[in-house]
Amino acid sequence: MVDRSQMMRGTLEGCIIKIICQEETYGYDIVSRLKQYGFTDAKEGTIYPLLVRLEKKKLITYIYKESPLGPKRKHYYLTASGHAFLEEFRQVWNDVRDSVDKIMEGEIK
Amino acid sequence: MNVLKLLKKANKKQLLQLTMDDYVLIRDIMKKMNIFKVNSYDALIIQRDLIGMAYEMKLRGTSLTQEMGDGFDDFIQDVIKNSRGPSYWEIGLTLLKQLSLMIVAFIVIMAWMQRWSPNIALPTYILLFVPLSFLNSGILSPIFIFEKGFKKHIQYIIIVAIYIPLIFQWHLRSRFTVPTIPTLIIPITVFVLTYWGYKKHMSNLSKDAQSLVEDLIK
Repeated sequence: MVDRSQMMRGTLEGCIIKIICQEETYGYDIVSRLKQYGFTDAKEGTIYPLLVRLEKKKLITYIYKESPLGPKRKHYYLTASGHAFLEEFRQVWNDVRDSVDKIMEGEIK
Repeated sequence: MNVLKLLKKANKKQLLQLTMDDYVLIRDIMKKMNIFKVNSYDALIIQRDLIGMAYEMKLRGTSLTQEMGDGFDDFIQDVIKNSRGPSYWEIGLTLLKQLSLMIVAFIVIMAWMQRWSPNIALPTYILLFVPLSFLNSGILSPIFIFEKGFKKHIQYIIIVAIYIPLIFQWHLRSRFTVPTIPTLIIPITVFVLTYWGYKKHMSNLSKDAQSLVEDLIK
């Protein structure tokens, strides 16, 4: 059986970066948007380690701000390296998607 | 400004606002993030994040415990793997700080028992403190930190099993005489230097946290 979550995991980093690129945001909001786009398994507990990694790679940084419900949460925004990463991710993703599509559609024989 | 102290204080205060389940969960997570896995500053930031997450979930009528489900261990491993990891300076300085303090305490007790004479006789087994302390804190602790039940006590069993036979060796029961004051000055100096080095290193680790400091001071 195809492990959907495993397949999604590799692309999640790029998707999170894209969401953060659109506007400064925080964990709960990122999860809500991922769910809207079909990542129905996404949870704050799942994406938190990814956010820690993106911070370590200095692709994102944060500022503490109050969330709509009150508690102070890390609000993330993209660094210059984050923007460069997003561009690279987009290219790589397009290449991978094209290759997989071609194989699935049996274009190359 | 000591960011670590501010963070610890703020986290402690906010932890009390959580549900008992989440309080226990975060406490258990933090127990596993010792200095051998994640440096202390990052660990406190992670704790602050988890508290924020749990508090918001409480307001939404759910909880971090529910959200985490059975994924507790995977979550910790993931966070540790993706974090900046341990700081070897922090580990070294912490071990040295504890060791020098332990030696100071030992010498003070021995000097007091010998009525503060200018020269004190020390048992040879004090020389075992250094390798045993390193073995315990530097090697065994990181190995057994994730163990549960009986296995988590293996570390202490190993230490006791090494320590007791050595102490009872007749040659280790012999004593050597040293001048009291200079012998006391050396570990005190080491302690002061490592304490200063530790504070400086921790402030370096948190140097990017200006917005956090401002937030904590408010």
